[in-house]
Amino acid sequence: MRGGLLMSGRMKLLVAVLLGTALPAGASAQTRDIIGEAEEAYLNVDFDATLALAEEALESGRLTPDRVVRVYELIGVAAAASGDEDRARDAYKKMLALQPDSTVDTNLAPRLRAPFMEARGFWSTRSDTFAAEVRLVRQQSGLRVLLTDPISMATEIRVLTRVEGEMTPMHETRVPPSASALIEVPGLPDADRIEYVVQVLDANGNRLFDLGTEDEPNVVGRDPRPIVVGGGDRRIPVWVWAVVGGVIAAAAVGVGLYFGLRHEPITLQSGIRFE
Amino acid sequence: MTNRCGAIALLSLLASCGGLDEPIDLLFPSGDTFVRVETAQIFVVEVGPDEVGSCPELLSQAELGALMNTEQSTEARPVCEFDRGLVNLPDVAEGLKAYVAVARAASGTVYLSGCAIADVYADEPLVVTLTPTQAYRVAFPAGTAPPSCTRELKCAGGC
Repeated sequence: MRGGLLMSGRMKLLVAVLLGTALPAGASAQTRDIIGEAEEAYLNVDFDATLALAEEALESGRLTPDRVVRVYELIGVAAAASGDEDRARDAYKKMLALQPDSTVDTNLAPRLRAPFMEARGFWSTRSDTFAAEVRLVRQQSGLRVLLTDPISMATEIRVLTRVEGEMTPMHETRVPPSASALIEVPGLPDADRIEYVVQVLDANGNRLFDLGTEDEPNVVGRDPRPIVVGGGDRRIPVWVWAVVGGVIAAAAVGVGLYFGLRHEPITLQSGIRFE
Repeated sequence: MTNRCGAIALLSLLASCGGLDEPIDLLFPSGDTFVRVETAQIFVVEVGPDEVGSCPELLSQAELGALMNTEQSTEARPVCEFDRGLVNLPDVAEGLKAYVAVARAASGTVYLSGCAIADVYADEPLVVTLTPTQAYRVAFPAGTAPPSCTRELKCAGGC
C-alpha cells in the first residue's frame, strides 16, 4: 500500500518534471506541487514518500528560504521515522541554521524528536549562525557581502545591483561563497545610493537567505546631494533659503532705518520781515 | 476699490518723500531800506564746527561780489519776489551752514548784507538780519529824506 502511494507520487513527480522541462517558467509552481505532495504524504504517515518527495523538491531548486526550511523539517521527520538518524540530524541542523527558532511537532514520538534535540544541542554550542549582510565600500566601488555559513550550506552568492532611481535592469553578479566578497557595482563611487538584492544559494539553486527582492530591493548609501548642477535634483537646501531670508530681512531693516532716521529734505522759502 | 487704495498708498508714499518747506526770512532794518534796493540774493556756504565765527569774512566777500565756496545760492531776484515767497532754496543739505544774503541797488552795489549760521534741520526758523553797508551809508547819509515810495507801491509796480 505504501509502495503504491510512493509509485503514485513518483508518477506525479515524473509528470511534474516533464512539465517543468517543457515550461521552465512554471518551475516554481511545480516545486510547490512537489512540496504539497510531500505534505500530503506526511499527513498520511507515509514517511518514505515524504522523504522522497522532499528530496525531490530540494533537488528541483528555486525554493524560497521558508520553503527550504519546511523541506528540511519534512526530511528530518521522515528520516527519523525511517531510522536514519544521521540524515535526520543533518536535516534538522540545516533547518535550524536557516531558522534558529524552528520547532518540530510536539506530538512526535521521543524517538522521532531525538535527532532534532541533538541538532539543537549542536547549535547551542555555537555562537554563530547562518547570516549575510551588505556594506557599501565606496572607495572600492563596490558592495561587500559578508556571509556567515557555519555548516557550508551555500554554494553561490547572487547579487543584483542598480543605481537608485535608474530605470534599467539590475546588474547581476554571481560569486562563490566566502566570508567577505567584494561585488563591483557599476555607477560607484559617484552614485549616492545603490539598490541591491542578495541571494545566498545552495547547490540546487534554492535560496537559503535573501536580502531584498527584485520588486523591493534594499538600498544602501548616503543621502542625495542637495544641489547637483546639471543633474536631476535641483532642490535648494534649507540653508540657502535661510541666507536669502536673512539678507532680505537685513535689507528691510536697513531701508526702514534709513527712512526712519533720515530727515526729510527742507526747502527754504523766502520771506521779508522788518525790524 | 483696489486701484483707489493703491493710488492713495502711492500718493502717501510720494508725499512722505516730498520734503518740508521752512521759511528763510530777510529782516530789513526798515521799509525805506527795502524800497531803496532792487534785488536780493542768498548764498549757502558750508561751515565747519570751528568756523561759526566766519560771518564777517563771508560778508566782506559778498559785498565785494566774490563769495567763495558757495554750496548753493539763489539767483539775484527782485526783492518783491522774496516778499511774495517766490524764491526758494530747494533741498538744503543737512549740517551747519552760513546763509549769506545781500540786497543790491539797481546799479548792483550792495546796500544791505547779512549772515546767519544755522542748521535748518535742527534750529529754529531761519532769519537773516540785513544791515546797511558802507555803500548804503554813503548813498543815504543820515538826514536823507525818506523815499516817497512804499513797500506796497514798489511791489505793485507803482514806483
